[in-house]
Amino acid sequence: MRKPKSLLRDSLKSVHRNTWLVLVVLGLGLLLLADRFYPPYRERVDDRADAVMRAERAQALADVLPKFQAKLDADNARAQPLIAQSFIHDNPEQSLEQFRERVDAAILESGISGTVNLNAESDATGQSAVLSLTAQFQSFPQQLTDLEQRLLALPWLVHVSAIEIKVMPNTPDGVPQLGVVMTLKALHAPPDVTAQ
Amino acid sequence: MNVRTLLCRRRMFVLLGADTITVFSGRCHWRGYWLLSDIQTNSTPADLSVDFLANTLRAYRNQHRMHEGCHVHWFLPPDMLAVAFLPSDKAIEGLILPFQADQVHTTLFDACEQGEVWLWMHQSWASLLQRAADQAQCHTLYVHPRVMLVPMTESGVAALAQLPDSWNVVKDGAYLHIFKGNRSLRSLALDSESTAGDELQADLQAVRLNLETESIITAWTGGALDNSVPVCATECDVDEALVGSLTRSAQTFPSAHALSSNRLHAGGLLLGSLASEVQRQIWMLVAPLMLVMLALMVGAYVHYHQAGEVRDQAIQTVKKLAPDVRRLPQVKQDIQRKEDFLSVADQGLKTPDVLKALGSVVDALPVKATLHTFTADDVKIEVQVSIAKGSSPPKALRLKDSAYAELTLQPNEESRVSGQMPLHIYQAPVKVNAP
Repeated sequence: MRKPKSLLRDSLKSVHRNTWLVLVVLGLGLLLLADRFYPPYRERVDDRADAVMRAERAQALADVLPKFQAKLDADNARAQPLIAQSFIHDNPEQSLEQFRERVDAAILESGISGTVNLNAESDATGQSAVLSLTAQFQSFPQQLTDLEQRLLALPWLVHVSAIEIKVMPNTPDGVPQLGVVMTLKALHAPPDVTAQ
Repeated sequence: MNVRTLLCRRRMFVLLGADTITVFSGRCHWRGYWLLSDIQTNSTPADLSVDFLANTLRAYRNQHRMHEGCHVHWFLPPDMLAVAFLPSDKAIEGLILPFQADQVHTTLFDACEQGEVWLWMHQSWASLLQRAADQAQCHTLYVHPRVMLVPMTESGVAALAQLPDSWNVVKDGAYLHIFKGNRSLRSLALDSESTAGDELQADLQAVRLNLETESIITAWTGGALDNSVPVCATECDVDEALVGSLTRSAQTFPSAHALSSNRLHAGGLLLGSLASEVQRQIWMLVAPLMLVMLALMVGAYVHYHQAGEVRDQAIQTVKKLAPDVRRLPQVKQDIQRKEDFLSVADQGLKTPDVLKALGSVVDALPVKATLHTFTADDVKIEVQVSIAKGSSPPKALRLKDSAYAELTLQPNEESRVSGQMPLHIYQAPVKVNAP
């Protein structure tokens, strides 16, 4: 004895349970497959994006390298001649000491005698430095000329940046004597600056 | 998507009368009701057989190219599918005597306060119809009472609309349908001796010839027949009226009287199974979804491998460019060192060599001038000279060295030394960064 319910309900009830079972199994199987496959897929996609980004970054840096290399070459062309004439030591104090010794030797070799006061200092910017030496002495004009030649002959660049010369009153033998305060400058470069 | 759309396919509708069989094909409209068309009416033999029914169905199916296994709706007369009213206080077994309950198929047709209207059919009739359909490669789905079609004909609608609260008795050929208002309560086959002539008298006395009808009405009203209760008697040949309605309305039912799938389900005895149709529709929905999911998964798999290749290529690129990438910071550092050095060098060497200036000054002095002091630094160059008596100091001393401007005599800048000649001061600014 049947009392009909709605068409939808009766229709769905008429379907064999195996059909629903197959559908559920298929659906669950697909979901399981998707669940198993999705994390490695996601990971692979993320890896790809990361690798592509790193490759693009590397390419961008590699593309820029020639420009920097050209700049370095240009700086080397300007700097190398000066570096070759600089005092090269690990620290400016060592360079300053060597500078002082060489200037003192040049003064002595020029025949300048008497009291020679040498005050040295360095002005460092970063690792390079300007070496400054103030020499105070008395000499004859020829000795000053000789000193100039000896300083020019040094393998380092020694630059006279300031000088004060006072002509002393005539000496008993009539040869004018000069009171000289001379400021000499040279360059200090650390060893790693010399790399090309 | 609702079930009505899911169950949409062409179906066969068969209307059995006393001596005619009318077959229609139905197509489901998207709004959920069936549109009947392709009407074919044949006469039936006195002895209805399985072969006759099967041949009729087969011929129609072949003629109208209906698919194998199409579903069939049978509209049957009350002597095959009975329509009976069961008062609330009565049991269903009273309706189906003398048959056993397991020998008949029953289904509820309608229900109200006064009772229920049931459809019931003996299983032999059900077997006959199912065999006939099977022989014709069709599938019997529902059997419905002829009375269902009465409100769907123009004359039937007119008959039932006269007095909504009246008892409407509709003579449908050899059958009688009793309505209370629009509700069908009973259908029965008329005995040939029980009618007085061919015309139905529009009078209750003529209807009372059928005792069963009277008992129905008595049971409904709960007492003896009241002559004040209006009874309308109408004649309506469902076969002719239905065919006429379909023909006139261009083979479509007006929506108000349409055969909807829900109405067919509620007003019929389900002999077949809805499973095949539902399964077909489920698979029609599921299969594309599964194909789409499969395509997505295949696409994802291909993409997975492509992503791997791209990743490997990118890693190779990174490895190839690694030396350049490692070198770049070193190059930048070298540039920084060089620029620091050059900056220091420029700063330290910005002034020209002053010893050279001394020589130029000595060369530029006039013959009668005597140099007393020479001062040069990164700001200016200054000399103090004395001029012999009788000569005036030059206004400027032009030096051969282009690094220095000409030394100009500074006015009122004399320093007098007691007992000695006045000193003249010449000055010039230093050109910074001159060679």
